[in-house]
Amino acid sequence: MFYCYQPSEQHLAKIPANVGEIDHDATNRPQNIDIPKDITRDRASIITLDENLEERLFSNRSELKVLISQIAMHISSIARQDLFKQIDELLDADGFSEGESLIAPKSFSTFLKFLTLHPQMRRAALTMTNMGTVGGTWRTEAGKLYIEFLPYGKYRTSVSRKENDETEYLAHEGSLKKLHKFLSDNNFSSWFQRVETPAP
Amino acid sequence: MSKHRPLDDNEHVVRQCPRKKQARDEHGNILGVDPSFFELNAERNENYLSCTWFEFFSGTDADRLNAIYEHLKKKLKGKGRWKEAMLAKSNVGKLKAAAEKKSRDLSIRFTPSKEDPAYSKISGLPLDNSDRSLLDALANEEVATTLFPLPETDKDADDLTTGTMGAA
Repeated sequence: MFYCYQPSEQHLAKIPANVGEIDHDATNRPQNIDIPKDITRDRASIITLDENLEERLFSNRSELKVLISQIAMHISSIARQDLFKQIDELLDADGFSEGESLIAPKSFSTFLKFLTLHPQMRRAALTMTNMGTVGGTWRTEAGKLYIEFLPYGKYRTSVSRKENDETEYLAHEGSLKKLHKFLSDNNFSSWFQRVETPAP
Repeated sequence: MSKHRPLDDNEHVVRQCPRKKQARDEHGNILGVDPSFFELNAERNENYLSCTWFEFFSGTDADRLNAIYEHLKKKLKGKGRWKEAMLAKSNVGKLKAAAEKKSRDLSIRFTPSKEDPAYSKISGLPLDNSDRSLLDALANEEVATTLFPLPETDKDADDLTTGTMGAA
């Protein structure tokens, strides 16, 4: 069973007016975006075994949970608890090796902004990259959508779509405003949105 | 000692896939692998990915996965982090075919050493990790890579949480 991040109308009204603004001049052509500087690793974001691993992971988990709490009014308590659980799993000390990155809070902020922009979104299966950015995966019978959330509202996405017996791959990158158009134009929005069941 | 050689298309390589690379639904079923599983680590100046040659070990597929798990634990000398990790098995021919579709020539070779007689490596991946659709294809279980739960052993019973095998 899926659930979605379904906020109330009252909560939706609190989302700033400019959030989700669509750039109508956007095209679906891949953009050569500049990777924000704070994705490039710095010593502060990398685990080394001589550091207090548990302490640093705890600090990272706490920082991300504070970010989640800041948008708590836009998501259900079940969704919030699920995000907490996924963060705990991704940042479990027993799954970390030397030289690996923590999660970049600015990347996670982009994911949370995307979440508030798409209140009908089904649960995102979160993963993390070597750079410390967060990825979300949605899977349907038609294929798989993966979005990597970069700092400052940027993203990279790759889509695998089944066409007859072939699997087609698409990639796209840009800002969240363009992501909305890319997903809509290619009918991918339905892949991660909850299907409304008509009332009996 | 065996000589270095390219692996045949019908052979396989195996790598550890940590929890943070596994996309899981709310029930723990695997939805996919993060494309960055095939990224080169710039911090470590990687220009190839280290793997274990699956067919180096004998027996059934399950026997081989068990042997690889034991082999990797011994090789990593306790530094490996295995909680909720899985073993990712990739077919050599399918990895190369997926790369060819993106005009990239992968080299997957058996390169044993005294320390690791099953060592193999994947070379030819984009150094800047820029081709996300290529990385996605390589990590896709319908194309080349399948996840398997870690073998359960008495020794690690408290340490391991096995996931769901294969696709959801």
